[in-house]
Amino acid sequence: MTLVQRILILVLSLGILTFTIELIRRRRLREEYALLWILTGAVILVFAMFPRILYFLSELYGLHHLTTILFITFLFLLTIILHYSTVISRITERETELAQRLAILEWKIQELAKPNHERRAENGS
Amino acid sequence: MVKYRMDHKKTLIIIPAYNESKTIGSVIDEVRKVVSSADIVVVNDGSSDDTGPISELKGVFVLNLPYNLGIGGAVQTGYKFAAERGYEIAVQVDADGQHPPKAIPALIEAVHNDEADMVIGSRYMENEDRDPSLARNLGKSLLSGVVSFLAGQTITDSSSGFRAMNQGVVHVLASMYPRDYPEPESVVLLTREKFRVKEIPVRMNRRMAGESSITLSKGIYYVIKVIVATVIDMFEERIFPEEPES
Repeated sequence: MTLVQRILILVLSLGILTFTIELIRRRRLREEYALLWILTGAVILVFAMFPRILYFLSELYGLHHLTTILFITFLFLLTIILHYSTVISRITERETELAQRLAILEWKIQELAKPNHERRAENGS
Repeated sequence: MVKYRMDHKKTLIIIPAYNESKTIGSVIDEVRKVVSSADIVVVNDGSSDDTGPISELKGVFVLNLPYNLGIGGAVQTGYKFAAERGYEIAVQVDADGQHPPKAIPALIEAVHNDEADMVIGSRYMENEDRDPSLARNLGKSLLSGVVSFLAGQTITDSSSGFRAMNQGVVHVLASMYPRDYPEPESVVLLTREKFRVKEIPVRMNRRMAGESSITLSKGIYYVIKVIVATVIDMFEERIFPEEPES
């Protein structure tokens, strides 16, 4: 790895770390995700500072250096995206449930607000 | 018009409606004329037009969803309402005027006589109603083929949203209802839970207003997605792991 590459990666990882911390500070990011991104930034930082770990890893898997990084990055991103899909699915389900409950409760409140004689337990004739 | 009274079973007509202000009024009137003893609930699925207010003026129950959930989420709201208030029979009718209210009594009667747990009004049991478009026919055949296979019985019109069901089905669908392609998926889901599903022929009206939710260009995409969704449903956990007594 050339010096320029190392500096670039160093700056990148520091950038991710700073950005993550800033997002937490502004309460735009929940802690569970913050941890993930701080770890990501930290791992890249470690790789930038000690590139030998990368060489060791690529030798361990018998893969060419660049391929290893790409492969690991790809797997990592895939896992995160999959995780987000499950989170989004759960949120969608809850959002649906909430909207439905809200609609039914709103109906009940309106029925209760009516004077007794106007209240309709049924609307068929 | 035949007056039909089914006094001994508490019945709810569920009408999911999204921007149907042109047709909702007349649909409510017609339904009421045909099944006067039944309660009607309009599920206003976050409409931006006057669907909600028009329905309120007609004096039916109106459930206003705060935003658009899509047909699955809207219909399920109706099922939850029906389950909570203990209706014994629920009927689902589209708000666009495509489903002929005249046919509702036949659907209710079939459920009432316990011919099945859910009765679907099918467009395709009588050939004359077939869509002239070849591409759509192909899609429909493919879809009904897959659904029939998964359901273990012939289903000619699995995408029909014109259906009546008993309390047991209402309770299951209230707690678990597919959101994206609810009609075919729910048929498979229910047959897997050993509910009896039956179709009766119904001649549908041409839509009075509004676009079909399935345009030709989206047809193939729809069919593929429904098939994938239905097949995936097969692998989901059963609601009743034990065999329910029949």
